Amino acid sequence: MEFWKIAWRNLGRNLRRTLIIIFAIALGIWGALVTMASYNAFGFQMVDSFIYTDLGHIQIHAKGYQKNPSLRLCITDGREVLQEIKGASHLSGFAPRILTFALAQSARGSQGVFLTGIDPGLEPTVTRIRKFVKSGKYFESSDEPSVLVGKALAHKLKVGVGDKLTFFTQSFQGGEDVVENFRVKGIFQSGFSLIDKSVVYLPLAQAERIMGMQGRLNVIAITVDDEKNLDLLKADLKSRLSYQKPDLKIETLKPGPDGPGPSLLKISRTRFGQLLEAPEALAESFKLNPLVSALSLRLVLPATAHARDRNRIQRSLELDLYGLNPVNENRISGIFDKVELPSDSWLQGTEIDKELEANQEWLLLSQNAASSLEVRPGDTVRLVWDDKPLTLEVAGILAKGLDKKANQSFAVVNREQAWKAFPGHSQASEIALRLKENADPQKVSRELLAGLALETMDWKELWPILAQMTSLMDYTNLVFLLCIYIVVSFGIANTMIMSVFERVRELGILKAIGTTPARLFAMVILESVMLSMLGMAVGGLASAITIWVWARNGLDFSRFAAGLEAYGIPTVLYPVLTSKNILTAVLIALVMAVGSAIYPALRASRLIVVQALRRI
Amino acid sequence: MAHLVSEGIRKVYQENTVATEALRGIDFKMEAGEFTALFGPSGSGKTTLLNIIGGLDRPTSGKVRLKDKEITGMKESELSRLRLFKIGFVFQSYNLIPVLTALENVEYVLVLQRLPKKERQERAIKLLEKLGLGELIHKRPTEMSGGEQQRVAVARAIVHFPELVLADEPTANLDTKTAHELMEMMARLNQEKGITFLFSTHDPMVMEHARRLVELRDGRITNDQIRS
Repeated sequence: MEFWKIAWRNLGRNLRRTLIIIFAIALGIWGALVTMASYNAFGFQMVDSFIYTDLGHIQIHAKGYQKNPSLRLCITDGREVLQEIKGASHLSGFAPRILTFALAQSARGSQGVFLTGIDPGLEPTVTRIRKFVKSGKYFESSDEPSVLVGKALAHKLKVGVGDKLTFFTQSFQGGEDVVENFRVKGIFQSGFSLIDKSVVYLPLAQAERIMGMQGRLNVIAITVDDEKNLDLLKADLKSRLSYQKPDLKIETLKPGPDGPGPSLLKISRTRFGQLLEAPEALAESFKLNPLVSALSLRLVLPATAHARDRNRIQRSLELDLYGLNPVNENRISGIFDKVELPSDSWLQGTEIDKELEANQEWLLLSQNAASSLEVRPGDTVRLVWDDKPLTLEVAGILAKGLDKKANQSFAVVNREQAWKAFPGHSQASEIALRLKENADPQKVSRELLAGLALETMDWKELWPILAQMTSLMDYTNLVFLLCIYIVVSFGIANTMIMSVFERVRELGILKAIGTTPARLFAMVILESVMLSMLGMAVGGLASAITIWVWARNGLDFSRFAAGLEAYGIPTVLYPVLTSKNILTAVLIALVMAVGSAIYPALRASRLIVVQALRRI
Repeated sequence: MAHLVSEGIRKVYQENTVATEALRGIDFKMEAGEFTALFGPSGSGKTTLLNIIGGLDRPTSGKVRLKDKEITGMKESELSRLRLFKIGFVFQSYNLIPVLTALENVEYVLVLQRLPKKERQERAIKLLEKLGLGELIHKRPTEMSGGEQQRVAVARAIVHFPELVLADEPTANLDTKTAHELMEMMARLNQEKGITFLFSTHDPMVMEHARRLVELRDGRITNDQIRS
């Protein structure tokens, strides 16, 4: 009790000196807190801008998408995933997106753009897109055939609201170019120069239609209700989306008949004959594995073949009809190198796979199938599946390399012919993979299945640089804080040394009447801590007022607009102070108070009483 | 056995190559309840002897025993405890803690002794009132006269019932009347409470009050007489 009292009242003894040092500490604290708040204004606003302009707090994509974004690397069961996300706790908003690269052409120019399909209703739950529209209007219906164009891009293409833009891009299935016309509905300005000069938004339904996505998505951006719940939401999403991919199986096929070589894998549904879901997306995901050297999508159909023999007698045979891409398939199984051609064939025979890929009107039959049907190259065969007839000419006989069973009923057509049996495109019932030499097929199989999962990434993983910049800012804050405090601590040390020297006799008396050196030491430290706490209180109050006034009006940095906008930082900034900032400032100040009083406290505790008492 | 015994105390101050002998072998005894004055001219060694007896300074050679306990060989921390529990000090002047009130100054020693708040306050107030200082309780040293300050200092020196009170020229800064009052108070405490006092002085009036006079000259006891 008495020590608090002595320490406290000592502060009042040289009031002017005490006030000066309190003012110095307060000024230091004020400078540190206001600087931190303004750093945060930049940092938080930058992060905020990234999150609410494009990123969201969390994104979900197909595994590997973040490293290697591609239209085909997609969330295949988009609707189911969205249903799962809806149930997550701490969710604020979610926005499904389809992203691809396109060439945009106006009457007066062309430019490569990121064509981004957004759900007009859901996107504003994540980003501020609605507010960014500076002229024209935001989408009014979910599937209107119109686009929103970034301001810088519109300027470059010389288009305005109501103008027509033509987009050239590739659909999900690849193949022919997609060419689509859209009217410009609005011009947006996000503040991010990269987005404003390269992004075109269109309604998700339109993107889905022109890309042939059929419910597939590339990105789902998600926002959290409160930043502090980010990890909770992320964990919840991860567990919700960790379910197994629909019943796929991977079989290891032996290396071909030519002896040991690279392994072949075959991926199909566990139920025989079922079609793969989104095989192109699966193929994209498999291609990411560095041990996969070639890949072929196969569509296997039960079909009936009808042909008339020499005697005009109708012969029929049930076939296992394979729809293949000859070039891709040949890299896996090499069956097109083993085709027997008649001498008068239209095929040259040097690179059969390429010739067959270019031409769709052909059929290859196994030897036994050909003899059962009594057909030879040049004859025509009528194929029927699913009540759809198709007449094709037999181009050659697969004489070698087939096992006995396959030899009975094996037939091959161009994959695009086989697709005609189905609504939509790009169907496949199995994917065959060729692995690199010496790759372990078991290990690769496991990797491939694991690779089918979704990736759930928060903004720090999505934009590591952003996270690094914020931690760099924290670090800079700390260094700045230390610099200020070191200067202030010299002031405190000076005050405490003076205060001890002035009181040598008094401290001597305290010691003479029985105060222990440790108590004297503590008393001087206590005095310094009190001094610092007073300074902190004054400085804290001054900073609170400064930050409050600043936060009410914002600080106008429009002079630096060009530099700031490149990072999406608005020109009016609002300061932010976190509890961590305040705690750091207080803790360092206390350490400083103790540290700068150690020397004078030691001097006080080591006083020699007899000498001290002789001092007047 | 005597209350305080000092045997062959020598104190040499070494400054660079010059050695100054402040005490040259003091043999001195005191019984409990004595009211003794050390007198002699400036530089005769009075303060040095008091400091050594009070454990504030160490002799170059010789021993001091207080109630059978030798204090000359004690460690610093033991000396702190000794000063806190067994000895009371009254200094020449300016010896109260300026930031504390009279009550707090007196109470301070009891705080160090870790007495409960209520007990120490009661004791300090009672003592101050008894010494006629009741109206000073809440005053700080700057608001008191020299005599008042010195009387509070005496209260502080005796509040913990020490075995020995050492007073180094307690009246040196006081006017005659105040000095007289202070001496009367100390004499009364000695008589009524049996507190042992040893004080240094060169004031004849103070010596008047003493019942034993010990004269120091050049670091030696030259005269030791008991007055009737």
